[in-house]
Amino acid sequence: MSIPKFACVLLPALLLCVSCTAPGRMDPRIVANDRLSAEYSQAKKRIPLLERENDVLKEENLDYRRNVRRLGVGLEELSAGLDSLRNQVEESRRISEADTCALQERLDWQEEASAEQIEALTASHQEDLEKLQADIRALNERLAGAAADFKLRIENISQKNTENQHALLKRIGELQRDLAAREAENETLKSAVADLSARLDAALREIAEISRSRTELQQELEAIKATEAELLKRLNELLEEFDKQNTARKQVPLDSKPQTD
Amino acid sequence: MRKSAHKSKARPFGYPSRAPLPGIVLTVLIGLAVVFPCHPAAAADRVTVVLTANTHGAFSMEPDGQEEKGPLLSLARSILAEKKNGADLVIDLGNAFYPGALSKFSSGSVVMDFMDFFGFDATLVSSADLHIGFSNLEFVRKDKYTRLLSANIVGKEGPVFTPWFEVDVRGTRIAFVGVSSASINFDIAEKEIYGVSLQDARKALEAALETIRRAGIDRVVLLSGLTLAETLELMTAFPAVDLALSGGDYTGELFAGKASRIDLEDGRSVLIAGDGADYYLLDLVADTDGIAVRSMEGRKAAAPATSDYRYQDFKGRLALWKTKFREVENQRLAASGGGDNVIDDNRLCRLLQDRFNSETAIVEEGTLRAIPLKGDIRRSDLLNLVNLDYNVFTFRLTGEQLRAVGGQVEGLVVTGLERDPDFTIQGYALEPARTYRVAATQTALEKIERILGTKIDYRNNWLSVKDLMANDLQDRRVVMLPDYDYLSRRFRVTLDAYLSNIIDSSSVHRDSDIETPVGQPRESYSKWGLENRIDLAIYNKYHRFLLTPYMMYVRQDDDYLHNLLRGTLLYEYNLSKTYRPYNKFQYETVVTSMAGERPSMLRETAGVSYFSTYVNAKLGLGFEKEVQDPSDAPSYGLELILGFRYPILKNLSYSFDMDMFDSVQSGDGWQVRSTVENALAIAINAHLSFTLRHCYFFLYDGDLGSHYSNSQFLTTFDVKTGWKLW
Repeated sequence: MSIPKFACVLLPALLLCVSCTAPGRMDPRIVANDRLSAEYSQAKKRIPLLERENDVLKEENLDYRRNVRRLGVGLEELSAGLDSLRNQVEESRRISEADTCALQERLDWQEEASAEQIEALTASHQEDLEKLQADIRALNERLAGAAADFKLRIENISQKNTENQHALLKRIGELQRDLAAREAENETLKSAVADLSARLDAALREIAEISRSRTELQQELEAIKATEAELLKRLNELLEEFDKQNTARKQVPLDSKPQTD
Repeated sequence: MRKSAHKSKARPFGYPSRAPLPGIVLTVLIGLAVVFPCHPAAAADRVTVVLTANTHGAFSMEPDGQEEKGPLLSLARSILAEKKNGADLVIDLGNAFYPGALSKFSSGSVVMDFMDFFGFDATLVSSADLHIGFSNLEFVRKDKYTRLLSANIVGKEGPVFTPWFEVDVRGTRIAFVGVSSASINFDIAEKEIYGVSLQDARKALEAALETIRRAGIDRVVLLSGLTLAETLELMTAFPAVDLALSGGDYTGELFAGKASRIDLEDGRSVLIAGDGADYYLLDLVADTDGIAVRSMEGRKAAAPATSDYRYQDFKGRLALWKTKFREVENQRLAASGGGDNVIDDNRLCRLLQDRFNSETAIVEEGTLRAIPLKGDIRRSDLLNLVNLDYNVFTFRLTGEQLRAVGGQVEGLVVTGLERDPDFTIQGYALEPARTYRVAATQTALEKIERILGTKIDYRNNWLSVKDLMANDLQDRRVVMLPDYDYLSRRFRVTLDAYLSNIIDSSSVHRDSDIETPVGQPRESYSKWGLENRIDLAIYNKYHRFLLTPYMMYVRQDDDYLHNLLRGTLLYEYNLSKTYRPYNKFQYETVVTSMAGERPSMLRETAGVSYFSTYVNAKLGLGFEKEVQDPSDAPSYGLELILGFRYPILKNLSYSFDMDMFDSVQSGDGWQVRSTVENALAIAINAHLSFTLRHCYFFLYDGDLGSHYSNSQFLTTFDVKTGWKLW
């Protein structure tokens, strides 16, 4: 077979093979590489999460540690303060106990001293008491005398008072009677005033009625006057007319034939 | 009430249990209980649940005043207050981890701490949560009180998160089972390594309910991120579900409005935690008949400051995360150059086109949040900016596939593919069989696969959107360029080969005295031929150079039937989609010399090309000149090239081609040279076809007053293929 004939067969076959395999086919190396790339991609996505979450948690952890340290220091300070307080309390207790003993001794001594003083004072007090009782008795007697005198004076005053009271009551009765009479008189006057007031109202009404009648009569009179004036005016007109006619009748020419009726 | 799951935990909310009640208090309480016994049914079965949804990891970014400004800290205080008032459970219905910047920065750790510290019993894994990354969620949930709940996210060995958990209400045991929404996407690497995928919700729920039944649990509450229709379908299929709580990926959209509760005919309910409240307080009664809803009240988070130790500890940790965020994310990437810069999905697509030299780029809508950037652009801005941080893939789509994708662009942002009104790329109409370079993010790729209904062979660049953006902002800042026309000016190179072959070999053996049978050749012969054409195109939006070597060589034994070798160089200026000025050089000679001679002819023309859907044509002026064997003076004339291609069926197409040059000869006579070809091609596949062709060549020489014509039928087996070299 000549070269052109050979090319005639081979070239299309080769072209067909190439065209069927070349376009749109994934490179096998890419396919093989895809798994690795996928894992790399996932790792790349995961790493920021891990790093950042780790950083945040680390920072949070550091914060907590700082807090714990701060609280520890505070605790130590508090413990130290507490020890100091304990020592102080112990010292105070010790001092307090010593003071208590001294005070107790002093108290015992004072109790003894005061017992003697009490006895002396009791005796003195007894004497004072007796003296006082005597004074009281004397005073009671003087008081009883004064009371009797006072009672007498009170009785006198009471009697006078009773008399005054009776006089006053009598005066009050009189005044009350007088007041009742005045009130009765007042009532009478009030009824008289009311009667007068009613009569005054009636008179006023009558005056008003009369006034109204007068006004009406005046109006009627005015009307009559007006009518009269009208009539008078008309009468004057008629008289003038009559005069004119009479004057005209008198001026008729002499040569004129008298009309025959 | 006693939660059985709590018993298995060493320390509720990550803290030591409280000290036991003093004996005397306990005695008094027992005495009171004996004297004033509670009504057995009145309080025993009441369950109060605090529901949250779509909290989005929305922590304020400033450590100062975070209690007043932080919506999640307000929520935390309210949850503590509700628990103090007797709330039994706290459940989140999803999308708690994303897209809060601090949550993204901490890969979900800070949100998981939030839920753990404040006693969330469970959170339903939803679509946004997976943006944190499956492996990161797996990591942060370890040793935490709060359960990540999903029955239908499965790995190689079944559910990867907790499918359900149990609560015991004085003898009435309630199981809470979680079903995540169908809009969940997994990172390609997660699929590769963990084999994680989303199982059919029905199957997953069936399996979970079976284990719940075997555990002898009376009542079931479904936590659903599915749409209302899907949730109702599950409730209809599984009467064992007493109540459904929807939220997270579904916020109550129903026709043109929003729903908060749907009651089924049999008395069961679907409650929806929408966006109208900071949290919901749900009052349930569970008894032997089922679970009844007493009330569901939306509330605003407005609890006052608290000295609760959990709150104070979490506040401290949150402040540490914020400090760390500022340390790391404050790094300056680029200067904005003054004014507001809005970097959106469109600009991201342009970056993909630039970075991966792709003709078109496709991303899902909302891949970037188009927030205005002022002053210096920092890493924290990038964190806020990138919403869907998936890897970038490059692959090839045919023009037909791109047209299908371009027709369903809802939810996608596409650049490089223009619609004018037909689809064009770099100013040229899409060719159905031509492949085009595409760069897309993972979610866009998955959407394209769903549109096309086929798997696409792709190349994973193992470069995420965020990494890509960060590299770009530190280097060339393509996303901030004012003009992207340079992408259209990039030159592309295509190589198309069309090979047709004819082989017919006959070997006749005969004696001299025998006659040739009817219909059989008289003598042996060998007939073979080939018609090869290669189109090498170098083009951009404005210019197109096409170099076309062509050979038509057919011979039978020693006789040439065709012996043509032609080279064409065509330049077109892409003035418009329809009309383009052109300049063409064409040199024709023979493949093998004839009688020691190699006649050659040159034609140069300039004119206008016309393009439409089925027709393309060229009309130009120029000259033809025989340059060798023999050499002759040039003859000037008019060139008309006409092509028509029409696909009758998917694998059957008709084509018509005509090439005519009319010229004035030296003797003032006209010469007409034309080739007309009609062809009917049956495609076997994208590369092979059978073609039935009729070729007609006509030459009229006016000076001589004579003509030559050749009519030929050909049946050929064609191989055609194309490459995009750049």
